[in-house]
Amino acid sequence: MYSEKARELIRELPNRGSLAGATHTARAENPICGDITHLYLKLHQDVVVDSRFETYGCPAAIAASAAVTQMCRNRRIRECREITTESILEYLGGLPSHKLHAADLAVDALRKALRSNGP
Amino acid sequence: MRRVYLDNNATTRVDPLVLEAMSPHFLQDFGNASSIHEFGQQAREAVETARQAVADLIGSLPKEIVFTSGGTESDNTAIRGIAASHADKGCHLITTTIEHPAVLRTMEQLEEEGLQVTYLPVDRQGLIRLDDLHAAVREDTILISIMHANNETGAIQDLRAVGGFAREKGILFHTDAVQSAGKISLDVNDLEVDLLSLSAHKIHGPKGVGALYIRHGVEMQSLLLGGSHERGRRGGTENVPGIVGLGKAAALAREGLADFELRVRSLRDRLETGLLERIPQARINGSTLRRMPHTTNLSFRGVEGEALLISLDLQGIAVSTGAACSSGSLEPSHVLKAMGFENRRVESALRLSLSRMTTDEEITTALDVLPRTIRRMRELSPLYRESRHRVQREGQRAHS
Repeated sequence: MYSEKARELIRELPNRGSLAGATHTARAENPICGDITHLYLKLHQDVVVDSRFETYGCPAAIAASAAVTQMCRNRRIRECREITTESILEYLGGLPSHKLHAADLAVDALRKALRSNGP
Repeated sequence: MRRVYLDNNATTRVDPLVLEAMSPHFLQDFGNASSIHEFGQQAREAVETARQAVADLIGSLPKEIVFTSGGTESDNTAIRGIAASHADKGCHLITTTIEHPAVLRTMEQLEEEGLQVTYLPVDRQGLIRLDDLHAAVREDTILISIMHANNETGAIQDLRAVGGFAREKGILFHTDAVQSAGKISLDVNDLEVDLLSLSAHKIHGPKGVGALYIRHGVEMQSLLLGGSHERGRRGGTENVPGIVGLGKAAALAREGLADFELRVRSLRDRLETGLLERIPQARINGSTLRRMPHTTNLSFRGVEGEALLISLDLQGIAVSTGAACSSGSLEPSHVLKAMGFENRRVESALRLSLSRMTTDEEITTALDVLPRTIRRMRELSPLYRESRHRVQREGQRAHS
């Protein structure tokens, strides 16, 4: 049901928790299924030097949030803006067809965080 | 990794004695139970032995047992069969909002065909109120179908009261006893039930076989048309290995009823009490007084059930949830919703169901892994953090 990569992220939960010193943060929520993601980014100049997440939601939402924290790390803002639902799905090796919206939530959180002005 | 199976309301491991009983009927005694040669007669004898065992389990006569492909077919047959055979007497049926989909979907289809159905609500314990049943009955009511034990919460309905009332009103009474038959003592005469569904794979028998008890004298149409198998009540060559497996499972379940009540209840209670002691903000969903001895349904605030299920699965522990997030929307358990719980409580629900094969070691492992996993997931959960802050603020306000 879940790819090996998604299962690994759910098991390990890399980059979990809040981030002291975050320069950019965002809260994104899927109002229908109720999943909530908090994304914390620390930028130095225009590079994401640290990234953390907190998520309440289904396994796909957790895996997608963890994925986006890994994908944006050490990337420039311009490159982070290029992260899409599709690239998250590719990173994860896919999600169950009825769970694709979880990647949308992660992208939403990332874009909001990049637009934000600090925690 | 030590694997722990706590999803026995979904299905159970086949008992090796059941497998042993079934085995000769694949390669050696493989006859068609309708054939008159010796192969066939051996198969017939095996089927009738199984029929006796199932009858003994529920206190019926063997001729009142019809073998089916499982609980779903039994439910469909009972409801559709009565609706079709008693159309001249009425077109109203009564059931509950917490039935298994095998009952609910059948009722909904009958509504589309023009029949009328009343769905009785349940309280926060997951139990119907008899007053609601009394009020729902009409002159044209032909069937009451109320499950015995709920698959998600284990709540047990007061079937004796329902059966007595139905008999008094002259209305036929069906119960889906898939989750209770073979686990707690039940007698169709004591409960005054007219039709009862049961399944093999919930009691360490094989999948794909079940039975429908039809009280002698109750007229009903067959769902499956074909030969005159099962006294003309269910067409189709009998699944002899499966039926033998069901018979053996029923016999073993009957022998083990007292053990189930004592030992499995004690394991379930140890698990439940241990989890409540170790995990703050955990709540039991449903009745603890009228409940199956092997089931507990708990909500853990701030943790999403499916995420918890997968995290536990990755550590070798199999459980079940009360809701599934699907295609961007939440599909909450219709049972917990019907009990009046809000979405967050429903989506954080976990069902743990034991069997007579559950070991003390499995419970010990679960008591070690579950609290640790829930603590870790709560550290990740903005919802739990927010709710904890709210509780702290309320506590401070109360002190000041």
